[in-house]
Amino acid sequence: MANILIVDDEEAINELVKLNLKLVGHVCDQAYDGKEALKMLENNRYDLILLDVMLPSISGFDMMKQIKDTPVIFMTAKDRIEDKIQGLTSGAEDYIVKPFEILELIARINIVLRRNKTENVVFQIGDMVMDQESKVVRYKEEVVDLTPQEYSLLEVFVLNKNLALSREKLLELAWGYEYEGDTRTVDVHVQKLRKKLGLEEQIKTVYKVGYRLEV
Amino acid sequence: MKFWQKVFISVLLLFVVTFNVGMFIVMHYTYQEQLNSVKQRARAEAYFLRNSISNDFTNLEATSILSKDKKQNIYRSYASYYEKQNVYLELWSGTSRIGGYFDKERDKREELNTEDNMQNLVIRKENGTSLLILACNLKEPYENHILVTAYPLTEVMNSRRQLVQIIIGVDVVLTVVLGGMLYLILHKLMKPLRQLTVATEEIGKGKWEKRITITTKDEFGDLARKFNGMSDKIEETIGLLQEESDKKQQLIDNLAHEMRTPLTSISGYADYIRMASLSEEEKIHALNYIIAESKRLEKLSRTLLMIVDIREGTLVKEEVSTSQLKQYICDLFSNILNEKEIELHVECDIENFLGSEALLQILVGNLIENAIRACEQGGRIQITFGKKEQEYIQIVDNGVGMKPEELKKIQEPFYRIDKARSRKNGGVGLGVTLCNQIVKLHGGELQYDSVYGQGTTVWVYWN
Repeated sequence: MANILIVDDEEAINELVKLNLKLVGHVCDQAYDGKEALKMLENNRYDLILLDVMLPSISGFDMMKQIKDTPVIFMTAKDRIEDKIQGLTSGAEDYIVKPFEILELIARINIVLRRNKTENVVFQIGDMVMDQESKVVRYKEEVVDLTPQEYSLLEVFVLNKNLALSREKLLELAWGYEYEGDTRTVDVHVQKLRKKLGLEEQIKTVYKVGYRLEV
Repeated sequence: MKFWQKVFISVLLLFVVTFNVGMFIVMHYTYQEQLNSVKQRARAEAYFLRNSISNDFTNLEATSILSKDKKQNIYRSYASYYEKQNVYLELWSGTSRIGGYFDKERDKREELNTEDNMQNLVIRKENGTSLLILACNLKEPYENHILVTAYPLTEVMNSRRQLVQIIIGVDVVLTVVLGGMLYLILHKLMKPLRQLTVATEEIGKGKWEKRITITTKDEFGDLARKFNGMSDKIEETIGLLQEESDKKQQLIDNLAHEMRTPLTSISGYADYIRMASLSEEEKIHALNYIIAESKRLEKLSRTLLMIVDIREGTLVKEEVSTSQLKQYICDLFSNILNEKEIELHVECDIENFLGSEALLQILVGNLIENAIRACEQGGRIQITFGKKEQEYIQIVDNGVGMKPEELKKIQEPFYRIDKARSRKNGGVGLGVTLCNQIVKLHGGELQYDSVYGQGTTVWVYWN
């Protein structure tokens, strides 16, 4: 889907982010310091840069001055309010503080990508085609009538594909924090999605965790 | 009340009192002078009149009998003449009045109790006018006759009143002028004090860099210089405190960063294993990260605890054998030295150090670890336990060395010359901090010499 450059001198974190983003369908390049990252930026086009602040040779804030038209999300352990302000006023799209949950990072990446509209908005799996822009879902060429709740659940699955999501997480992501429903609501909706879109195989139940859309 | 107001009022009061007392004395003296001149004239005239009237009586008695009528005639001629000159006459013959001016009863007029040839002089107010009254006996044989002359003192009194008015006028004018001038002078003199007040206020509000610009050579100038000296000291102390607190903040920031990074990895990989459908190999790949990062956290906490222990602990000094230290080093690093093909030479010029064996092992171990990290494949490290003026440990490597700005920073907790490499070797960035603590506890000193690209020499001096 999107081309993403990950810049972090911590190998473990750099790798972790790459593995997860690969699962949800992004293509990632990795850089371990500022100089290396700038060199890669010269040679490639990226839809998004995930940038650590405390980097060897050139700091993330300094690199920001040389990054022109690529959206940036800062990914840092610096959580003081001054740092956040400096990060956001330097022109970054978002600022995420370590330790972060990978699902949160993915959600923020999706928001930034959608805002910058470079991402592929049509998604196909099996006989189902989902147009994220017009919010129309077809199964075997036929338009399927989905309730708004069903659609947002499907969107959550698609954006976090290949990752198992707990029922609580699904409630939070698809229904919102305020929703005080039972986790069985999730089960009911998952059943409906499976039936309406023929995704019995693809939406797997993961034991003791939740559900995963496998592609 | 403010100081300048006190000075103002005191000076003004002092002036008014002094001026008025002086003026009163002058006035009194003038009055007495004027009065004396009137007195002298009165005495002279009385003397003349007495003789003249006595002579007239004698002349008259020679030709006829001196009756009361005749006496009255003589009196009138004199009285009318003198009245024109504003002098009033009265003549008594024993207790009966021949002619006169005053109404008061005879008993109440003390001037009439005259003795022979004496002039009685009184000053009295009659009908609202002050009079100088002089009484005397006529010449023999008419000594039972009393002549009274009275001089109105209107002029003297008027001139005194006038003088009082002038003095009051001058008093008011001078007080106003003096008050104004005094205010201006005090205002000018108090200027440094006001500056001091303003500056003190600002410094009190936290503007430590504020100074006073008073160049006068008086007490205020002195005070200002002392005050500035005090401000310098305060600013310096505040600066030091600020620096100290910045360092602490930096340490906390760094510590938070050092803890967060492995935590992010650990929870991230755990989540990854749970959420994704992975092959066995991928799972182990992720688990290895979890284990490595946990170890890093563990080492970090261990090192931190050690630093705290050393800082708070008391040192038990014992004889530490250098040959045993040498053995310890060789055992500890033999694997890595072989792996990197680094040559290690240990020279023991003295037999013992005084200190804690465990801490010395940590110290030397850390310093050598850093030296190995700096060395390329096939490097060389030389360690000397020796004594010149003081006992010392010297560790020389021919590794990458440090730039001057790096050399400055290595004492900072969590500073790493080469982050990536240091972490791969399991460093947590607290080695030099720990070494410093150990050396400080022993009362020694840690020094670094380094040339970029040529190598580093570390000195530990024991005092």
